[in-house]
Formats: sequence, C-alpha cells, structure tokens
Amino acid sequence: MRRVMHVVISAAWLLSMTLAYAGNSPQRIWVALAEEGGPYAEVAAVLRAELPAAVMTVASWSRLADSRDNPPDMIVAIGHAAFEGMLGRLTARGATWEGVPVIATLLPRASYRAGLDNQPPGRHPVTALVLDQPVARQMALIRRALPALQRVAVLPGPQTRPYLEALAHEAGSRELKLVKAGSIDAAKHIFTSLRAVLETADVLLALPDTVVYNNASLQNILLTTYRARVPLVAFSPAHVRAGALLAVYSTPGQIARQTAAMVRDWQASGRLPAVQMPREFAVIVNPKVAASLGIALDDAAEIAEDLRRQEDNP
Amino acid sequence: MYHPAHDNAIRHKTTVKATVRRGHFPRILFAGLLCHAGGVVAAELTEKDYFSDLPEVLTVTRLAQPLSETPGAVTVIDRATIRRSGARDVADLLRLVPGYIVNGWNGANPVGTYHSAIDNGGSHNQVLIDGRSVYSAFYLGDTHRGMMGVVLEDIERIEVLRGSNSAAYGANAFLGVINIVTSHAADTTGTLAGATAGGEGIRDTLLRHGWGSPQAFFRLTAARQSDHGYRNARDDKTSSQLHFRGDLKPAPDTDLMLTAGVLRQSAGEGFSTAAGNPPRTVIWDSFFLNGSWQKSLSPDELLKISASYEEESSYDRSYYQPIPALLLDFGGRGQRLSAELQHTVGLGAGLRANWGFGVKHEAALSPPLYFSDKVSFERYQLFGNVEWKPHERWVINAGSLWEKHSMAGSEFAPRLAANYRLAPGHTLRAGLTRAFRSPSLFELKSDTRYFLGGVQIGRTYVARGGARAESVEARELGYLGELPAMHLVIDVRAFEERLKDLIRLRDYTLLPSLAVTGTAARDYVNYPGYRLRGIEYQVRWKPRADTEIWLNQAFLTTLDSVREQDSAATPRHITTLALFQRIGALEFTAQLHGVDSMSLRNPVSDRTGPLMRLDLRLAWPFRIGATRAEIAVASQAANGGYPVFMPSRQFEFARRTFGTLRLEF
Repeated sequence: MRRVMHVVISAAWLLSMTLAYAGNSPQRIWVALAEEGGPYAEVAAVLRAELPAAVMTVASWSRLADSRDNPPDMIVAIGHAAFEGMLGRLTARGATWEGVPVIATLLPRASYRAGLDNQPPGRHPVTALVLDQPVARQMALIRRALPALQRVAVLPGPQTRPYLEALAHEAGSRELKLVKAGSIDAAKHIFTSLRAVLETADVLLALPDTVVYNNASLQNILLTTYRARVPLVAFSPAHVRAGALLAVYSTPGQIARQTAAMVRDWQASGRLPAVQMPREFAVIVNPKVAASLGIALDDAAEIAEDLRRQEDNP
Repeated sequence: MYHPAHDNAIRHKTTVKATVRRGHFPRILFAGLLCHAGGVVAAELTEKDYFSDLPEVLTVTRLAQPLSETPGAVTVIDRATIRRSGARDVADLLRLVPGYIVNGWNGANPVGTYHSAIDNGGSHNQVLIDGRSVYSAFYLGDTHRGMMGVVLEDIERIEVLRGSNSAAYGANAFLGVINIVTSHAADTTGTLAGATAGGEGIRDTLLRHGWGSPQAFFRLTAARQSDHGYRNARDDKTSSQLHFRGDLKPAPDTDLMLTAGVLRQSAGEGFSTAAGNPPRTVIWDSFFLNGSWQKSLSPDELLKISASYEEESSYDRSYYQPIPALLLDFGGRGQRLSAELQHTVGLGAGLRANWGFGVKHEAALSPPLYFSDKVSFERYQLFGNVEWKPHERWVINAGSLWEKHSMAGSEFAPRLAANYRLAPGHTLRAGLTRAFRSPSLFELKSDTRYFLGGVQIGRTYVARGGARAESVEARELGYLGELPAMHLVIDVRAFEERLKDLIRLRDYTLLPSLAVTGTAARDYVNYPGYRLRGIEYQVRWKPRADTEIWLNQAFLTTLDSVREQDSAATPRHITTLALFQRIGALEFTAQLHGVDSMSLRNPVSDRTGPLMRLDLRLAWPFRIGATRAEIAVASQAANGGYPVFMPSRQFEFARRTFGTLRLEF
C-alpha cells in the first residue's frame, strides 16, 4: 500500500513539474544561508540579480527547513552548514520533499563530501560548486608568481592524498618538482613532516585538508615556514591575510555567478550539472610577507590576468 | 570582532555533537586521536577557513625587515651554510663576512674583529645570542669566550651587521654586531648525535634531543670539543657545554622563550720563557639564564620583556718563575643581571616606532685583580627608533640610545639612515652614526697587587678611573642589488669610521717603589684614535640550483694613526671566495680566504701574512630508513699551515683534516 502511495505521489510530482515547465511559470528557488550576512548574503544577492525570473526565498537554512510551505523547485544551499542542515531536515520531512534538487555552493570539496557521507544515499539529486581550485591552476600560479622557485612541497592529509598524482603531473608539466611529505594522518605528525620537506622545498603549497591546515595548526605552520624562509602558497585568502604569501581563490561574487549558471543549466536541461570547481578566480598576495622574504611579486591582478589568459589559450 | 578562542570553542562543540548524533564511529576515534596529540580538536574544514578573519600571525612587528629596508649592511649566514662550511666555531664562520679579521692570541681563544684587530678579545664587537649580550663582565669586556657559548648545530642563523650601531644594538656595538639566533625548539625536535675526529687533536661530540607539543617545545643540547690549538703554543683546549631552550605559547598572541646553559672550558696558556705568564691551565666556567616574553598587542603592536642573568668564573693560578713562592692569580668571578622592555608600534602613515629601556648590573669579584671584595656598576639605557616610509622608494631610520653609566658618565648614540630604491632590486643606502663602548670594570677599577708572605711586593695594573667611553663616528654609503633573474645579490659598503678616545694602557710611576715591580705601573687612559676608510662588497651568486658562489672583499686604509700598531692591525685587503656545490648526492665546499700582511703584536717581529688559506669539505648526506645521516671530511688550511698571531714564537695554524658523522632521528 505504501509503495503504491509512493508511486502515486512521485507521479503527481513529476506531472506538476512537467506542467510547470509547460506553463513556463516562474520557478521557486530557496536560497538557504549557512548564516545571515557575510559572504552568504553576498552570494544570495548576486543570485537574485542573475536569476531575475525565479521566485527566490532567501533565508537562513534553519528557517527554511522549518517552513510549512510547499516544496520549492530547487534549493541552493550556501555554505557547509546550510547544505548539511537542509539535506538532513529534508530527508526527515518525508516523501513529498524527496527529489527536490539541491545545489551546494561556497563550501570546500571536503565538506561537501562529508555532508553527503552523513546522509542516506540517493534521495535528493545534489551537486556542488566547491571552493577548491583546480591543481593545474595552483601550479600555474606558482610558476607565474614565483618563477625562480622549483621545488614545491605539499603536506598531504587523508582528504588530499587522492590528488597527489594529479599534482605531480601538473608540477612536472611546468618544470616544477613536487616534494611530498609522508602522509599526515594525525596532528602530531604535522611538524615532523613539515620540517622534513622544508629542508629541500622552495615553496610550500597548502592543500585544503582539515587534518593538516586547521585553526589549531595554522599559526605554527605559518611561523615554522617563515622561520625556514619558505613561502606558503595558501588555498584561502584568510590564510594570506594571516601570513601566507599568496593564494588563488574565488570571491563570493564569482562563486555566485557560476552558481547562477548552474541553476540556468538545470532550468534548461532539467538535469543537475556535475560537481564543478570555480571557473572565475582572483589572486591575493601579502606584500609585507613578500618584502620580508625578499620576494619580488607582481601585482595580484596582473598575475590573475595572466593565469586567465593561459587557461583561455592553453 | 573575531575572537579565536570563542570560535574554537563553538566549532569544537559542533563537531563533537554532530559526530555523536550520527554515530559515526571512525570520526569519534579520529577526534580522540587529535585530542591526544595536540590537545585541540581540528574542526571540519568549511568556507569559514576561506572567508572569516583569522588572527594575523605574521604581523608587521614579527616580520624581519627585508634587506632593502635594513638601515645598514648585513651578512646572513644560515644553518645550511654553517653545516656546509665545516666550521667548528663561530669565529671560523666570520671569515665569510666581508671585513672580518679572524685571529686569536692562541688557538684556544679565536676572535673576530671588524676592519681592525683593535683588541685581542673582541670587546669592540657586540655579540648577541638570542638577544643576550655575551661580553665578559669580569675582565675586559671580551666577547670571544661568550661567543663559544653556543653549539653551532643549534644556530638557526647569524646576522652580522657590518658597521656601528649602538642606537639599535646597545653600547659595544662599536665595530660590528654579531647577532646569533638559535633555532626555535619546534625546529629541532627529535635526536641529533654527532662525532668529529681528526688531526691536531680534534675530538668533538654532540648529543641533542628536542620534544614538545604545539604549545611548548623544548631542547637539550650537550657538546664537547677539544683540539691542540696552534702549533708551538701551549693552548690545548677542551670545552663542554649543556644548553636548554624552551619555546612556549601560553596564548596565540604570546610567546615565551627560555634558555639556559652551562659551559666549562679548560685551556692551556702561557710560555715557559715568560716569567709573569708561565705555562698553566686556565679553567673558565660560565652559566646563564635568559627569558624573553613577547605579546602582540595588536597586528601593529608588540611588547617584549626580556631578562637574563649570567655568571662566569675563571681559575687562573700559577707561580712567578723567578720567585716560585709568589702566586700569580688572574682569576675571579663576574656577574651580570640585565632586564629590558621594548615596545614596537605601527603609527600609520608609513611610520613605525620602537622604544624601550633597560638596566644592567655588573659586578666582578676578584681580589687579585681589583684588590677589593667586589666592584660593580650599573648601566641604564633608554632607546628609540623610528622607521618612516614617506614614499614607496624611501625608508628613513632615525634612532638613538642614551646610557647612564654609574661610573663612566652618560653617553648618547644617535643614528640616521636612509634607503632609496632606485629601481626594483636596486637600493642605495646612506648612514650616519655615533656609537660607543663603555670602559670595562678592569679598565675602570683594576688594582692588581702581588703579595709574598703577607707583604706587598708588586702592583701592575692600577686603573685610576679616568677612562671615558670610546666612541666611533661612522659615515657610510651602500648599494644593494637584488637581481633574481640573474640569481645574484650584491652588497657594497663604502665607509669612514672615525675611532675616538680609544682606551689604552699607559705607564705611570707609582710611589713608593715595590720590591718586584718597582715604580712601574699601568693605567687605562683615552688615546686620540684613528680613522678607517674603505670599501667592501659581497656577491652571492646562484647560477644553478646546485651551485652557490660567495665573493667578499674589503679594502681598508688607516688614517691619522699615532701608533704604529693601529695601522699594522688593519690589513689593506681581505678576500673570501667560497663555492658551495652539490654533485649528485654529495656536497662540496671550498673556501679560499686571503688576508694581507698585518700584525696584532709587535708591528715588525710579529707581522703575519699575506696569507692564503683554503678550507675544503666533502659530505655525503644519506638516509637509513627514517634516520638522516651525514658523513663528511673537512680540511682547514688544506693548502698548508700559516704563521699566526706571534710568528716570533713560531705560532702556526697547521693543516687539520677531520671526519664527521651525524645522525638525526
């Protein structure tokens, strides 16, 4: 009996969706924010501007999750907490909410994966725009900004170990040499591995891995690399402001525009695009650290422009 | 307002709650491991790691000044260079610094002096080890023994500031500042063992162990060194030392460094033909405690408080050869207690200021040298420096130090320097300064008396307290070229150093006449001094990743000297050419050091040089599992020995070849 109900409801849902397309009525999109304000609000504002035809409800994820409204056509979850929270509550709300597609955005790949791992599989079509930059872009950044340096060290943790091969390939293709530390599985290994790679490294590339780079370890990593006079290429602009040399990253506005494009893809095809990495990006440098390390860096915007040109004309 | 502690607490709670609620067993286990390891749970990586404001770690006040903005010429010798040089002590390394003359009255007392061998103990150099000035309180303010109170393997880098800079580095920064910085304890965890053996009695051993957690790291280093010194000199030396360093982080914005050490050195001294300087063994013991606490009050503001206590004692007894019952005692004890507060603050508009004050209490306890139970003085210092960047091409540094010495009066040391960036990578420097050296306790208060059966029969040094501080007025012009495309850094310094009121011995007649020394006594007084003029440069070129070449030269002239010894103590040129080369798995170093003819004693009979010394080293670093090992063979004066210090007594620095094994695990 339950199964029959399920089939009937699903059929009704599909029918309503089809009618919605056929009638070209505006789509209802929930934009769930991890927190009010900050980069989340910035992404939401750009989404509104980019998708004027959609009926958009922007609110903190907990308010949306508790809402008594009918299910929307799509949910855009901005930030890790919004994604994990929405997914968890939706699942709990039963069959009428199944099948609502979710685009997670403005979150690291590792936290997107963790969010998925914590859910029963397969009930919601989901995809994401992650903050992680492609490894090719990271290597291109090092080659372009620090042409005199050759040996690029990385401290791989459990979340980034799978990308080592790609890193080595991208380094090799730019005449850079990848210096790998032994894999770090616990905080206590960080400094032994770090010291070992700093002996030979010209530059340390930070990879987004919680086990290695977290609030507890970041300060010591920055101080240790600085004492060794090895510049740190970060994955986050916040880390550059804290004392890393430079980073390639995507601003909330850039992330928002690409998210809007993903929504439009879905509107056009009815299918969610695959998980994406940022297409647009910016470069941030810490000129004080550069000067202190005796490194002459070009202007951040100039570096970013050159990287864009390289990507456009490979 | 971002508050790190608050943020951590919230994240911690969320992570634990989430893992428990979802019953994700491996995660709980993982969090447990992290707790055990560091005492801090690593939060999950989120977008907050990208977009929230983290506390600034490398704040302006913590960053070292880039060379192009440093108000003066600096030579930096880092840990890798120290290891690859084959040096056994800091003085050996000073050959890599343009303008430095490395010598020693015997092989047990190596010393480095800048531009002129103005004294035999390095008392015109400021030598700092982790911010602690190491000159001797008890005797002549020598730095050469203090400079031996560090284990080379513990040194992170040596910054030698070529020039005079009392304004920033205190009294005694007269000609040159040797700033030795030991490694942070976090960078020396694990165990290091090393042994060296070779010719001329070289037997060195080293054992170091470091441990800790991100909040507190510690290190203990024990080392022993011995060698036979020069040929034809009684100067066999053994030194043993034990050092501790702790680096603690009581809060994210606070650092606490504690160091302590003990050193015993036993060395031969004297001549069989010198009645008043007979052959004997001198034992020198010292220990120190040093602490420095610093707190970032904001990204632009740093407060630092440091304090140290050190004590040295020298056992130096022998008998006057013509009268075997007459005891010659040059021993005694010295103490110094120092404290300093320093505040660095960014004032906006390209302006940064640093100011502070310090106090030193120094005492000597040596009845034979001072004919008194205890002599002591205090020094109070007030200092300030302003760095101003009025334009992106200009950096102006203005500073001064004022010192009140309880015996020698007040001194003032101002300094003004300007750096102008001609073009990216090309900087011009100009500087004007006055620096000083306060007289030592011995120069102010010595009263050396000799007794036989309770009757005074001699008196040699009788300082009548008239010596004032020596001063130097220096003018310099410099150029720094940093050309990364050519892998080249060039530093040129042209200078004139006007040395004034140099403290020297002067004979005077002491009445009544005494049985052994008669009426002849010696006092310390100020002499007019002389001028040093010259140019020096250093070139560092890294044509390939495996090759590094250093070339240093200094050309010196002495002007207006009234004493022949002054001009004789200044060689006309000094050159060092060093090659650091990797050949596959091997590391090869060759250093060629040339010094023109000069003299540290009698300008005629004790003239040395011109000398050319070649040092070679070949090392093979390798791994045995997780253990890093290195086997090295080094040869000092590989091209043959050379006469040194007193050629009249056939003193010779003979070729010495030694092998080293190091294991790190």
